[in-house]
Amino acid sequence: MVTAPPEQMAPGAGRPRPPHVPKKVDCPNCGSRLEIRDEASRLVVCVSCGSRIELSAAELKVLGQAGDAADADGWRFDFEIGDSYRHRMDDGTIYRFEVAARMAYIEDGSRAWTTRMYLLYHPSRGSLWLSEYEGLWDVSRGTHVMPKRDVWGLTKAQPVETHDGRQWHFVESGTYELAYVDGALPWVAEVGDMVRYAELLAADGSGETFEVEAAAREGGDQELEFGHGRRLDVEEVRRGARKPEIRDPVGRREDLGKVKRGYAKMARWAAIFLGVNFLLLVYALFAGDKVLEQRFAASDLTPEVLSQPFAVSDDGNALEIRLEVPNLSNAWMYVDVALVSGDDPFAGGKVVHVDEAGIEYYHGSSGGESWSEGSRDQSLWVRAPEAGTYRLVLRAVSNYGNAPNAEASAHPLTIEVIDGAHRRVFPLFGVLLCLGGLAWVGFSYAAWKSPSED
Amino acid sequence: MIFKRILLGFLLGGGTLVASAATLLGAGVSPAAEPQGISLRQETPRAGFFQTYRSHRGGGLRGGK
Repeated sequence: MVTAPPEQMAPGAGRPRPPHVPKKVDCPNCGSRLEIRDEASRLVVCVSCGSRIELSAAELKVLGQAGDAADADGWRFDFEIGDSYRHRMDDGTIYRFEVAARMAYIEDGSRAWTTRMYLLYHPSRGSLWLSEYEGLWDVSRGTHVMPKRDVWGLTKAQPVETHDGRQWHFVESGTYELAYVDGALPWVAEVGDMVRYAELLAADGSGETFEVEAAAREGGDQELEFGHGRRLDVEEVRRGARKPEIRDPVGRREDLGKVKRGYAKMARWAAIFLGVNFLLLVYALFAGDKVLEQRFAASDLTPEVLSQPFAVSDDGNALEIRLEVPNLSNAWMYVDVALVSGDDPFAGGKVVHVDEAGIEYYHGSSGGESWSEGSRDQSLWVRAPEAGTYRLVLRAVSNYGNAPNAEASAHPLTIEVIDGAHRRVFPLFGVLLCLGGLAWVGFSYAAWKSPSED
Repeated sequence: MIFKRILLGFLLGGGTLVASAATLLGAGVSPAAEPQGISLRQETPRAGFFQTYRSHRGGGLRGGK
């Protein structure tokens, strides 16, 4: 048995890699000499006549035209075929890559949404993909790591784990169409090829990206490819390409985590404000002391009646006078109310406030549906001028249906007086406002998360 | 996003502040209309306050709706 000498088994020992010699082919259509640097290339587009030449066949085969070569200018590529790009790898070393192919993908059939992709070739470091959309750059390379779940149809920021244990957030998905290609590619690309893509962003905020692409291949199969990369700052691209003229980005990248935290923060604040208003509503509901509760028979209310005395504890206290007509049904009642300081208005007491209330309640059914209108109770509010003993003078008339007049009351009346009450309408408004705010945050978040394509 | 946050904070914070102040300060409750008091005439002690009051002041129910 023959074994290699130990010194050849050491790391870095052994035979050196042979120098890379580009493969040279002649275009079968126009005869131009073409250099194929990547031995994995299966397709090359002739720089002279634009013919698409398949390299994998036993003989060079012209597949057709890739489009007018001059059309490249219309796609506003920042790199020419053969341009250099210096890229810092994960280990910190900078390697010089060469642009081997360029592709322009469009979405929704419009050049307004064009993604420009460049295949960067290096003889010993493999290939990279540099892509640009609206001035935002990414670099990636193929990986065999797969996501643990189907990524199609996910919503924004939904978590995805890959088989290497990394956590990602779904960013977007879509379908784009190959609209232009030149250079040499490791597959037989054709203008009109449709590619479905999904983009994920590292959950740890490192800016790393994970891409899934599904492309139709020969025989009707669909081929899934995965790429792992990172986002690039335009300055980094300018330095790497030595092209300071590369355009500034049109837009800004969305920071998914930041947006998600922003919505969470908004929801938290809306919930805090809702809690404050709810507590305020509870306080307003139970604040004050019930200082009078009295029921008056219908016959007592005409011509008028004096209530029991009640005490107001402080100067300027708000009084809520609750009027309730429990058996009011398809009828109305009008009530005159006078607040009298002192025990008896006719023996030294003084009327300090006069008010009136119209209470009406109608109900029935129409077209199979029940309806009701009005209410059986109403509150009057007044601020007592000073602490002391008060009474109410009450007079009421009531009638049924649409009767326009009444001379007497047909209904009994219950009165309650709350000393030191607070109006509920303000905190109720606050509660409704905060509920509306929470709903708005929820709808906005759902709209933001909704899939961009599916 | 920042615009949304400012708008929401302004609306909900401002609304809560207004609702709190209005509730705690007792807004929406009118003072008594006659703080000095209306002396009722002793000579018509049981004629009925509202009959006297309405006939002098006008308005009100005055015998029905």
